Amino acid sequence: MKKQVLTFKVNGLSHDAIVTPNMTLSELLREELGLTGAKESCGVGECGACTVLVEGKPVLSCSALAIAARDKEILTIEGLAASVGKKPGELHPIQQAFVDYGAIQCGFCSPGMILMAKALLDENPGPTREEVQEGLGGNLCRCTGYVKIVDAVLAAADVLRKEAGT
Amino acid sequence: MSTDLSVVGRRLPAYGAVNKATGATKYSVDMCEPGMLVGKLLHSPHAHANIRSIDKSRAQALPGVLAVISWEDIPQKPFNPSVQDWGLHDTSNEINDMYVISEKARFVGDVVGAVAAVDEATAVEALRLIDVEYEVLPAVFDVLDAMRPGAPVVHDSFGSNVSRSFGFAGSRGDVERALGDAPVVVGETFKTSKQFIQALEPLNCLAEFAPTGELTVWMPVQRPLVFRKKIAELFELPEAKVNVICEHAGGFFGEANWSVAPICVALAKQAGRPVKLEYSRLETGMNCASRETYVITGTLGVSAKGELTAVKEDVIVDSGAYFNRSAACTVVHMADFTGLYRCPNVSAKATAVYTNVPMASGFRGYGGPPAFFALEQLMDMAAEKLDLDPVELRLRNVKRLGDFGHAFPLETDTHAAVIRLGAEKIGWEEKRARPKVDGDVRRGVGVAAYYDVSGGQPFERFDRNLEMQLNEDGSVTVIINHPDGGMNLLGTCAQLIAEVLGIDYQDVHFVHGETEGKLWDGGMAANGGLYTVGNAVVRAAHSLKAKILAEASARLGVPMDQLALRNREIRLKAAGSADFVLGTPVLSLRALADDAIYKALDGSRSLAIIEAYHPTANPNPVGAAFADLAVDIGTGVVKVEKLVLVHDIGRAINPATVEGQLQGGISMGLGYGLFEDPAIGPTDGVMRGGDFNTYRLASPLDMPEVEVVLYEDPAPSGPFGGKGVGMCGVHAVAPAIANAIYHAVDVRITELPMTPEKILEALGGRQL
Repeated sequence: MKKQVLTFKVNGLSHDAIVTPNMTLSELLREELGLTGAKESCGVGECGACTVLVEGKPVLSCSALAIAARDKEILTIEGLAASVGKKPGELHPIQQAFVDYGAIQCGFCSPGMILMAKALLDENPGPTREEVQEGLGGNLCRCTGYVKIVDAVLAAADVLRKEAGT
Repeated sequence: MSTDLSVVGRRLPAYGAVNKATGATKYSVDMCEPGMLVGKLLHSPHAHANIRSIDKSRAQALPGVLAVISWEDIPQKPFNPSVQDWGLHDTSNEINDMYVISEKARFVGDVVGAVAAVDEATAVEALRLIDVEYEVLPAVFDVLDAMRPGAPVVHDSFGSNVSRSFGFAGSRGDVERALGDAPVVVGETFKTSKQFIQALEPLNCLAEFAPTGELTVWMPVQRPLVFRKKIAELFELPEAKVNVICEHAGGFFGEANWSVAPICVALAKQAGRPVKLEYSRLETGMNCASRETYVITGTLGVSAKGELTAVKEDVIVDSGAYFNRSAACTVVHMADFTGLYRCPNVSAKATAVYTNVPMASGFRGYGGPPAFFALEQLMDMAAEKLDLDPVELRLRNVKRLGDFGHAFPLETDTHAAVIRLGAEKIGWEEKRARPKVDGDVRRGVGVAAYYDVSGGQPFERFDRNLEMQLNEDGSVTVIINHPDGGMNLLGTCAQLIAEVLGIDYQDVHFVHGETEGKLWDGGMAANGGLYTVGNAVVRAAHSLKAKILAEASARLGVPMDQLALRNREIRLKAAGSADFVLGTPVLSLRALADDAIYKALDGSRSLAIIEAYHPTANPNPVGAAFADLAVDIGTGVVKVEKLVLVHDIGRAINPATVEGQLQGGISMGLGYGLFEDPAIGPTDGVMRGGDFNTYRLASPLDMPEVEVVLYEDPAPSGPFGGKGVGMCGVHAVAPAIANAIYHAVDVRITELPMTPEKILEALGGRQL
């Protein structure tokens, strides 16, 4: 298969990688860049564990081709806190809420869930409980029953609104 | 609740949560070793077939292929993927009826070969080049068909598909006579479904041999030390040369099939390179094991006063293609069915039967969810015949203080109060009485109770061995082989240790991720973490505290009983007061620990404890679930509006953790009750419910309003009174829903999952 050199940005840094046309974005991130925060659970875009943000929009990285990331800006869980100016060791308010509200059990769905929550709150800063359930409707969790995840997203929404002064 | 606890009872962040939130946590599926090959499995396309020959030569010749194996390449030792048969269980009745790779295909998907190659595409191509000549045999998929004379025989050595029949040691009294005498007798047959574990981390393994022969295996595994023993035995290695690494796993809900590791090890051995084997979702379904699958015929005899006089169960176990844990699971199941309520006459027996479908085993709940699905519907049937409220019938029959539960007497008397509290929370009286008809929907409310264990003792070795040491900085490190599977066992233990030692819970560290250098530990199962590991760390912490105070006493020349530990300091008890909080700090823990090493004139010493804990009791957690729902009589769709679950936890060491366990269990119970179904073809044995499109897990959109209530009445033998919880959320959800459906539309759904099709069929076009 013909390989090509791809230039893209991940978590604010520019990268070059040699990719094949059939390489997925999750393979690029996990195997080429070692960013294993994006999890592969189903491999076919049904569970949301591999969610990353491309140009701010949620993308299922297991089902997206790496070449589609050409010249794009990708945000993974590893770069989320820094993307809002947090120092190393500090958490993004959504991450903090997931920790504080007991929304994380095994943690395998958490990176995708947190990034999907960010996309949701970017669109809708003041969601209702039902809107959060709907926004996270494509992200599966086998551990938590979602109650504390929804609690955490609602709490994070409050913090983010306060921070934004709205 | 006592208020003198400072760390126990607090909602503190779970162990490892920050690393998980930032993507820093590494699961075994994230591991990568230099030179690592990709492993792939070859599955039988036939439900039942003799393998006449396997020609691996074309696959072996493909450039980039470094290993090709079939059953001949695996150690020729009959295998059972269950830990129950691995020396953990004192009276195991499981059957070793498989090789790690099959010598005969017994279900669609049975692993008949495996390859390791430089990349995935080459591995997939190599699978295609393995030439297997099958002799296709007639197959049987339904457990009742499999029992009929002349049915295709899945394991020739048994002569029929009935592998084993066994009674229940807890049988007592004269059930037949009691049923003959009972004014009210109810009976029904229930069929439960194959629910799959489907933890979000797919099943995977990475195996690597060092040049000197040491083997390292990375894999999500709940009982690493027992697992290490089995791998060592299979491959004839000393245990000390095998290191099993699992620091974090993407969900622990049961050890369904450990043969992934021996396959991976055999590939790595042949290839001379590290090999990683990662299961697809379909493979994680069919090559793991499902929840135990039963046909249950239950009968209850009840007196006119509403007291159970007879409980009888006849259970047919659909083992699937291999026996796995059909015995142990079913014994627990029978104890669940016959033991939830007081009853003088009890009998149960089981018949285990092979079929050509993926095997069943233990899965969160371990025999309980099928038991309560059947028993709790029978209780409602009895209540109706007695014209008694279902809650009231349960209150008349729950076990009380001192009654025997699972093998040990109940330590507290809580079940009646728990059920009453749940009834109050759901608004039972009002909802039972409200109008059912609301346009196209019919409303109903239902109840189901459950009980469980806090570990597998005395039948299984839930013994704990651990080391606990005071570090130079005054913090504590615990060395114990417990992978973190998301239950926050380690965080909860940190709270217990911090409470005893008067330190911050963040000052408790764990070394826990690999078997290397660890003392033996029975691993995780059966709600046993908090109770058994918790008791072990509390004992160790008390021993360490005594050692610290003795050291301080010698150093300060003050009697030990005048000293206490608070806020990482040794404090001197105030004169005439029992209150250490206000006492005078005289020495920091850091100074004490550091000095013992660097300044002691009589030799440097670490302050450390080795704890060996053998649990000698087993308090039973009890609970009840309540479902409020609406059935659309046009479509058969059930919309669960609210689920209430009250659980007697003894004491919630971290209430957020306990709630999370129960809420997660509820979502699994919801899926079990309503939609999780592998959809195995009744005529071809093909599993159509494989990936997450076709095998549906509860999503955020499926969740009703959930109210979890923790009932606290400390169990005398528990750590600070705590007892088990992990499996308990699942138990009573499906039967509470079934009873609510009956309340709504007057039909009993006796087969899981309770799909709209089954409900419509049961309604039969009736006008309600």
